[in-house]
Amino acid sequence: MSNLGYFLAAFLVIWATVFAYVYGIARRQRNLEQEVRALREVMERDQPKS
Amino acid sequence: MTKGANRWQYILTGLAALAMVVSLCLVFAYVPTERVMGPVQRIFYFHVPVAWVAFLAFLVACAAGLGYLVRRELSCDALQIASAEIGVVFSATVLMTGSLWARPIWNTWWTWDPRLTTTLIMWLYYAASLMLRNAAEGEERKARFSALLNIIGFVNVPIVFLTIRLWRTIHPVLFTSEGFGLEPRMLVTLMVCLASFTLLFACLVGIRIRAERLAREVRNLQRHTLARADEWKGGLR
Repeated sequence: MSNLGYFLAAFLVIWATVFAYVYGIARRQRNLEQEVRALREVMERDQPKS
Repeated sequence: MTKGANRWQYILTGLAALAMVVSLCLVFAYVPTERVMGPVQRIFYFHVPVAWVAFLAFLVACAAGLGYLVRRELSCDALQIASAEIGVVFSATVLMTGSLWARPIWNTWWTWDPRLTTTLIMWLYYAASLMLRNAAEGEERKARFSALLNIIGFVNVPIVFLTIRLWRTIHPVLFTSEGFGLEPRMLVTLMVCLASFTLLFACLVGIRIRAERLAREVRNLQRHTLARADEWKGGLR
């Protein structure tokens, strides 16, 4: 019985889903890190001088 | 994130990657091909661990939800979001791989079998609960709402597990009172794959919690910046 194609498709589906999810989180994390840096800069710049 | 936590994340990621390589070697080179189903049966070594991770993720989300309601700690909230999200991703993968296995064996992509139907309901419920969380307003309300949804949703998880024992179904039963009913090499491969996917789950939870902490930090900084802008405007008036 030759049904190797279905196995390979399932294998690809699993890894594509995991990689897409990890890539999504990594991208979100990068954007958030940039935002944190930018907001900290704004806060430091607007710090009242004593 | 502290340096210690970062180091643990690296160790966990390395272990998960190593375990995955071992699993792949076992699935492709070590385990024998099943006589009746042929090579497609090898989907089993990914399909079962992915289903296990989905169940585990929803269990952790439920426990973290309970933890949040009792202790009101933000770390519990971050854990429940991370786990529920990973559970949704993995239950979607279970449905897809199951469908790819069903096509050559049952001659259909989908059938309204109790196991398949309850799994679909579980996936839809948790996907909807993540969307509902985003619709709620206020950090505290979001977390409380999410905790309740995760606790209520977990009622369906044992039902999904037990469907193949309680109802007549075409889905095979893997664990019986007599054991696994698997050839020793198949059992070893399954166990290694289960361990690898559990490590992958732990690794993903760590990454997702980190993203959640950053998102919270951004929201706090935005609040501070807005409050300061309001103070400044008030001073001008």
